[in-house]
Amino acid sequence: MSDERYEAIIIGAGMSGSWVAKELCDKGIKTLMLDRGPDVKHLRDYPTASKYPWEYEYRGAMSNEHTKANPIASRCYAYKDGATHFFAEDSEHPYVQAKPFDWIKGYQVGGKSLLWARQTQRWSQYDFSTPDTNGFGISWPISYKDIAPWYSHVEKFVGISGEKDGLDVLPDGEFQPPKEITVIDKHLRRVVKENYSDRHVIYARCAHLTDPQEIHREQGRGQCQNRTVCERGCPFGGYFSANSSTIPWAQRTGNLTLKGDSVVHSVLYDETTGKANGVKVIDANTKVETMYYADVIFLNAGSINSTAILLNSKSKRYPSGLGNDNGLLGKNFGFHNYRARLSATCPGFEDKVVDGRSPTNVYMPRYVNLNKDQEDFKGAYGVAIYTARYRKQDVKSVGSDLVNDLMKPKNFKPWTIISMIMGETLPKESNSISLDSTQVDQYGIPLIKFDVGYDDNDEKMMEHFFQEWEEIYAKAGFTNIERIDTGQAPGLDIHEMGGARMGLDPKTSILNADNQVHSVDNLYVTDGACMTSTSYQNPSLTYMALAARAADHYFRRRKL
Amino acid sequence: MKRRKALRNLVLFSLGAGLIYSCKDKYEAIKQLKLKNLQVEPYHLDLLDDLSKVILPLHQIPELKDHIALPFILNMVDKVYDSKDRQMFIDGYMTFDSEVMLLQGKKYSEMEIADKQLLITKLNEEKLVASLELYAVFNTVKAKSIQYLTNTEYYQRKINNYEMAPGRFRGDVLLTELKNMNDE
Ligand SMILES: Cc1cc2nc3c(=O)[nH]c(=O)nc-3n(C[C@H](O)[C@H](O)[C@H](O)COP(=O)(O)OP(=O)(O)OC[C@H]3O[C@@H](n4cnc5c(N)ncnc54)[C@H](O)[C@@H]3O)c2cc1C
Ligand code: SF4
Repeated sequence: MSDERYEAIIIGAGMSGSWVAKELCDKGIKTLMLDRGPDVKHLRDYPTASKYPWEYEYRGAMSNEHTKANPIASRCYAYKDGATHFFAEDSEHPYVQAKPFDWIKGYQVGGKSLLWARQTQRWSQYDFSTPDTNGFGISWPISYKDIAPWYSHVEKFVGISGEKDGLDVLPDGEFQPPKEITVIDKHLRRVVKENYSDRHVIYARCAHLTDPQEIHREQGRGQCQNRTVCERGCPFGGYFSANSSTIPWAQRTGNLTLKGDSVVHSVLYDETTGKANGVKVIDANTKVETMYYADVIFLNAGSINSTAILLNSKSKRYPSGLGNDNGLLGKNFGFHNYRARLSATCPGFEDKVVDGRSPTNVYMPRYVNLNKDQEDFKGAYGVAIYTARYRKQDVKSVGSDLVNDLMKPKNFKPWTIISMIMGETLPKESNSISLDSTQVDQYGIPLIKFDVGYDDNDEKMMEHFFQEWEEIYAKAGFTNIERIDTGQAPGLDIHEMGGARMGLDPKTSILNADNQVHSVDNLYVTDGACMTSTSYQNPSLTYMALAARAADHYFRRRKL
Repeated sequence: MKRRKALRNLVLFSLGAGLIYSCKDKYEAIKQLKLKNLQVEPYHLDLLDDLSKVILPLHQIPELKDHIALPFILNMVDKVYDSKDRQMFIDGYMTFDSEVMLLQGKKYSEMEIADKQLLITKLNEEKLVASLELYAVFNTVKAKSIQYLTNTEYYQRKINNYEMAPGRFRGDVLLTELKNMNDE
């Protein structure tokens, strides 16, 4: 037992938790941040960051043993030799799948911020209003103008490379210069501009430093070098991760205590005060239990784990989970539909190639269902667009001819394009996560059970995407157009959201407009669990902005 | 828990991973791989090595004249291939000689280089009515030899213009402007 006391405890040292830490510590608040995974120190703990492709034993492939032991993690595109150590192994945290769900986890200090693809698009007022205009779920308790200053606050610190596009569907932010786009991206942008007034091909905003400012130099971060091996950790601090940025920043204030290998079992509830007053922690190595106490608690263990911790925090007052008066905790769980892709060849531009590697791509923001149901489906989708021209390896021959063919640098394949839907899924009670009633994990904590699936709305949205994009491709002169439905399970999008959604009415939501649990106001949930709807953008920028905003809310309230 | 240890030990592991193998230490290099699923006798090691050199004569590239692909090929079959494909490969090299004898009237190891080249060319063109196992050996050795070459430092830097840092990205470049386009 321990009676360590802090003013604030943050559960989870990933993308969102590290933002709470930075904000609270900057304001002088003594804070404990707990993470179930080991510490990962910027630079010191990036063992593969500077390994060359020819230094990998399997030259980019994965060992059979590894893949077999991790069938779920292996489905993630970033689960590659050199980065696997930043993914939780499948066996580390088993779960129950009532329906297939691929849960990709990064359990270490820094969480998935080490692994992310760094795409950072703001939500617009359209996105916050879609549940109302399209008639699903419940209303958001906040609007774009509530979060806009926090987007700016986060963007300036993180460093976002982007272009001022002037679109109301995807508001501009605080941008550093964009990187280059490909000649096919430019062609597509031109074709779309000439043919559609409501659609735009834009440079996808991403958390890479292209023109580091004083605030980034203070963090010890420098310019992105286009190495595109970000998921191994970046020795230049070229992209934003909690490890390179917010955590060391918070530590420098002297106000942060960081404890890794600390699995939070539950949040403690004081029946007399009606407040959360601490957390119960199990040491990941020794399994010894410890309690830590605080005035305020922030849950940032990632949407799924934060919801599960609340469900597991049972008391006389809350027998089915902390704050779960309405029985909705774990319900209305959302994700993004990434199943549909359209590939094609792009004839022409044969004299042009790309030189080097880009860590980002181009993007088409939503243009459907902006104000009311315009289509036979509800919700928004955007499109991520990847264009490339690869070298052609001529491997038809053998012997000396094969050597000669392989050593010719002039061989290139035609340009190709692949566009991927990023679709909103609709919140519904039947998409839920809950605690299994019989099975427990290695710490004696109930396993999480997923009952999450696609529905008819998702199918209709995909069909719409296919038809619209076949038309766009045809206008651009692309050929060999092929529809791909990856059939992937929910979860592989790694944009899990909801479970403890925000709302105005405690009868239909778990959190209020400031991310406080309605009935336990010193407990904030400021990761993706709070999301009322999913819209279509990569969500982490929004989590970070909400986390910073909630930390500020606590600070202002505390001063009163 | 395994992962926690792995995080710390990665630096040590990575030191061994980028070995450049040379003909002289072929057997030693293979011993170091600690193959778990393959036990290849020296006779078959030599056979597979020779096959790889006939299919893709790396020694013809002056900068790679001391390289051999064999340890990489075996390591991939041992650790990356699934058990079914691995077994095809094993069955293929175990019966390689006898099958080639049946088809060509001579053991592979007793052939002149010109005959070996002819055999390889026929296999490459799928003109030989041979077992799936024999083709599995040919295809594996060819594919993995190519993978070995195209992932050497020399190839990556010279042909792919690879640089880790400072890396670069230009999205709209004339082919003629690439660094190595005017090389012979
Ligand atoms: C390959 C990949 C690509 C991605 N690309 C993008 C992208 O381009 N854009 C985007 O917006 N998002 C992207 N994401 C998603 C993004 O990484 C997450 O949205 C983001 O990290 C979520 O932040 P978080 O703080 O909620 O969770 P995390 O960053 O996962 O942090 C949660 C932390 O909580 C800890 N934890 C969990 N349970 C407990 C417990 N019981 N006790 C103590 N600690 C606990 C974990 O160890 C972890 O460190 C991507 C993710 C991956 C893996
Ligand atoms: S692309 Fe940029 S951010 Fe990513 S590893 Fe390279 S230098 Fe770092």
